[in-house]
Amino acid sequence: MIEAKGIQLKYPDGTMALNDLSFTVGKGELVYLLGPSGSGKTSLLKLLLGLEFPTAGELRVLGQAITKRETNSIRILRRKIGPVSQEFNLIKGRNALENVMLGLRILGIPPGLMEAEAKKALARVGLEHKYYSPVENLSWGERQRVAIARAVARQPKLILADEPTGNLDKDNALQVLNLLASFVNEDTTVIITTHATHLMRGIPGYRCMELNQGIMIRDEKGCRPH
Amino acid sequence: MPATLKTLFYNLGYFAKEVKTSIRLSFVTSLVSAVSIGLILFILATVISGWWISRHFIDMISQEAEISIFWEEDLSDNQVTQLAEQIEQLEGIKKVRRVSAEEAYDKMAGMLGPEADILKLFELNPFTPYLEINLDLDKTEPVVDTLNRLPGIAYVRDNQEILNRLHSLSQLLGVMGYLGLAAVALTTLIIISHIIKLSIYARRSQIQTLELLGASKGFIAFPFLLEGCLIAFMGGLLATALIVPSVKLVHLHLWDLLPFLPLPPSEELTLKLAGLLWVLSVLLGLIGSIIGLSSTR
Ligand SMILES: Nc1ncnc2c1ncn2[C@@H]1O[C@H](COP(=O)(O)OP(=O)(O)OP(=O)(O)O)[C@@H](O)[C@H]1O
Ligand SMILES: [Mg+2]
Repeated sequence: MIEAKGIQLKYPDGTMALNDLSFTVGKGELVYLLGPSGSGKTSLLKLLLGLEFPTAGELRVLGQAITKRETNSIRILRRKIGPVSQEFNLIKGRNALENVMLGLRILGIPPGLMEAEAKKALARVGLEHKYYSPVENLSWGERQRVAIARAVARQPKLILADEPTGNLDKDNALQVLNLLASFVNEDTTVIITTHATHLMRGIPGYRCMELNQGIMIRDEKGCRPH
Repeated sequence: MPATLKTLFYNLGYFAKEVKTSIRLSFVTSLVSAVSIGLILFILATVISGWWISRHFIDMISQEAEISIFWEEDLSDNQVTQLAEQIEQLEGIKKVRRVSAEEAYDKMAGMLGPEADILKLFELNPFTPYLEINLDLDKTEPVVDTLNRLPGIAYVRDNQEILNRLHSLSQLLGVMGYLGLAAVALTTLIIISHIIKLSIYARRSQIQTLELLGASKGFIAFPFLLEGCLIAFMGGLLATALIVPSVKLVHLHLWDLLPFLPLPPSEELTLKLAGLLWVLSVLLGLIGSIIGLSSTR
């Protein structure tokens, strides 16, 4: 699913965001990506999405090599990924349903099916009563769930959630983490970056990877806070 | 790419909505752009109709244009027929016709109209028979040269002077038409590419989201192409709305002033102009948005 061999990410300004990471993530894993602010979590997700390219080493995601030369195949790779980002990336002025449908439009499926799938995904995150609400009228927790619905409606092989609990209170954060964990199955891998290590006790922890200054300092089954 | 086409087709409603939103967000800019494009297209249409009308004149006149050949008096009837056949073989000749003295008389009477009574002052028909020759306008000079050297010909009368003048007038209008076209194309492309750049900027976060979700370049670009075409086409429609009544008006006036002018029928002219303006505006809109899109990447 994901194979990283000695990957490094050095930004043009010289910042070494990731340094010599090697790991593999298999099908159906739930991975918590931990680490203090600035440790490189978002940078790693950007690499997995092909938004940045490794400056050294080798990275393959779902069999696709992440290199600058492969940008067109990487677009197609992204259609198999469900991204939930820190800023949600929802389209203002459009309602929840339209935002979720946007993720499906790219896949070339007929409009009727598109709408049915989008509604199903919104219902799954508990927003069946908010289909037609403009996203700017939704609470932060609801917006986060719309973003999750958009990601999962596409039945992705890989869900990448960057700080999905960022703006949420404890209850909502826990709810969102549980929701994301519930999408793990034999076909779908979920990777979540979070600062909220104190909440992880409440959810089934599978694997924890912890970064510090771009270096992997922990990679283990089970997520006991140290 | 059938998959890409399918994706575009399934999302036509979405694209239309995107264009609507984009135009609404920058309504004044879009409106001003469409109006400016409409006005410059209208000016272009005026020059082009002038050009088309002058070309029409030339066509008509060069069809009517004739070289008249008067033969030596001692030629027999047979020899004149032979001469006519010989001339018919020359390059650039369209038609050779023998005009009798009586016909020449009637022709002049027709031209003089109410003043034809003057002709009655002559006891005998003052006109001589001649050969009327129609020929290609640009072949006049060599043909006249050759004719002057043929035996049996007394005098060649041509209206090269007037035709040459018309020719250079039409050439001038043609050059103006092309220059106008170039200027209009350039201006339209600048306006459209600029407005598309603004639209892209206004919706850069949405584009980012689409990139993140794996949208193809075509999917991302399509609404912007539509927007550019639509705004330019609005300009084309405005120009048409202005030029059609103008042509009709000018037509009526010209007909009042110079009833004998061989003007082309105004329906044909306006139809051709509308077709040109619509195709041109959509094409320029498309190219303009492509320029706008590629210059922001
Ligand atoms: N585009 C960029 N250009 C230069 N440096 C960058 C860029 N993006 C991130 N960085 C730097 O790379 C390092 C890692 O950043 P990253 O965003 O991956 O951290 P993070 O672990 O996601 O932090 P947070 O928990 O605050 O989101 C930081 O030092 C950051 O300043
Ligand atoms: Mg981050």
